[in-house]
Amino acid sequence: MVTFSGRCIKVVDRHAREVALEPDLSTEDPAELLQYSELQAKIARIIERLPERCGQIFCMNRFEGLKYSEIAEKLSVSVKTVEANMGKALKEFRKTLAE
Amino acid sequence: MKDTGKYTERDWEELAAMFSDERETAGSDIENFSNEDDLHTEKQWREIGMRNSKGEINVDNAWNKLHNRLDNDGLLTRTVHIGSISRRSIFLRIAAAVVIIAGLGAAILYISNTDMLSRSIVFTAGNDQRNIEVNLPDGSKAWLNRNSEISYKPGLGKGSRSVKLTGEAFFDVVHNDSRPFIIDAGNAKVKDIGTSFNVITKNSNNEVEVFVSSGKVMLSDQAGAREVVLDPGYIGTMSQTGSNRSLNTNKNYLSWNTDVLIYTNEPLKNIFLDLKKIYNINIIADDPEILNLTLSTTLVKSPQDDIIINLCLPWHLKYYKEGNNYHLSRK
Repeated sequence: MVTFSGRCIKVVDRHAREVALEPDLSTEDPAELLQYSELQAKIARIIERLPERCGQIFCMNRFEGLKYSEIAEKLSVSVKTVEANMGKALKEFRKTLAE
Repeated sequence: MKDTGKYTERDWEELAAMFSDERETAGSDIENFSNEDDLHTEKQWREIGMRNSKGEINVDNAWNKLHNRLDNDGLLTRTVHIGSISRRSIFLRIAAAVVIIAGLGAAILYISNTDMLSRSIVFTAGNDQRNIEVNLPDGSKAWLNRNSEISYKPGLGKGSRSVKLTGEAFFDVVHNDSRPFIIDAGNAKVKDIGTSFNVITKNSNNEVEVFVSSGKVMLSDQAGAREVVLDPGYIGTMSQTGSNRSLNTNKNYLSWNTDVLIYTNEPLKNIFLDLKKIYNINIIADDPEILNLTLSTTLVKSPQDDIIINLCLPWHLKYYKEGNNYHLSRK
């Protein structure tokens, strides 16, 4: 079972490109929608590249809004581990933005 | 910023912690990261966080509650059973994929061996085959929804690039200025000016419907008399009598292809309709008031039984499966 609020591991695969996240549809500006869908596609790529645990931690923080300490507790790992994985995720995120 | 290679693993950790509001400041040498960053990494990182995590049910908690309840009711073997179904269904899916791929391969071999160059190559997705990937010879890709068919001449990509579609497909087209990619959708033609888009040859109003996800697409009638140019986010329709263009507001438009469903305060009756359309799951509400309950949730690549469990949890609905139908009821 995988949901954003649950176990967020295989969030997106190579097909997921458009509706992986929740776009702000109050905007009527197609340019903004496009930008958003590009961001989604990038996020899909990032999660694909990250090791499973790392992607899970990234999702728990970015999608579920959990603090590092909460993630550490949930996964029974140290806050240091969460920090290290988030660092990896950010590095990959930056790399993907540059593509 | 020219070079991010100078940043150490530790720097990235500090930056991630700062962007995620775990720390107020980062170390002094990376403090300027965001000022120099032409890619606005911080802004985008924060943006992912902002768009989500609102009003969703906590599935883990709900799951634990269900587990306890089943345990109390002495039904725990049932959870084990659910798990085994999922695993079996994954196996079946993989097995099905292998069979389909082998089948498609055999079809292509057959066609090339018989050297029927004048014939079309046809890919068909049957009633149980949603999201079948088709690799076209020019490098473009199409994903077929169930009950859909795509065909093209063997020389696709060498001369003109045109395919014929019946049903629904999502296209990811390799753009080529000199060789436009054209889809014959029966009552209309779809010409790619950009990259990825979804085509339905007959929507509920019997029109050709196109949704653009990136790039630009031109939709025209067969005679070329009427044309609609579509930008990303737009849906265009074309019928015998007229054409239309509107901004898509359905977050789940491409769910059949992405396997992601997002709902915000959506009545269950609408969710049931989507599940029927996308996964061919029949859900029957034995208590009619269930249909009007509203749910906010995100379903990502969930096995059928998990989807049903997700729907039942917030209200502790009961369900049982009968053939292809799920029956939901109040306690």
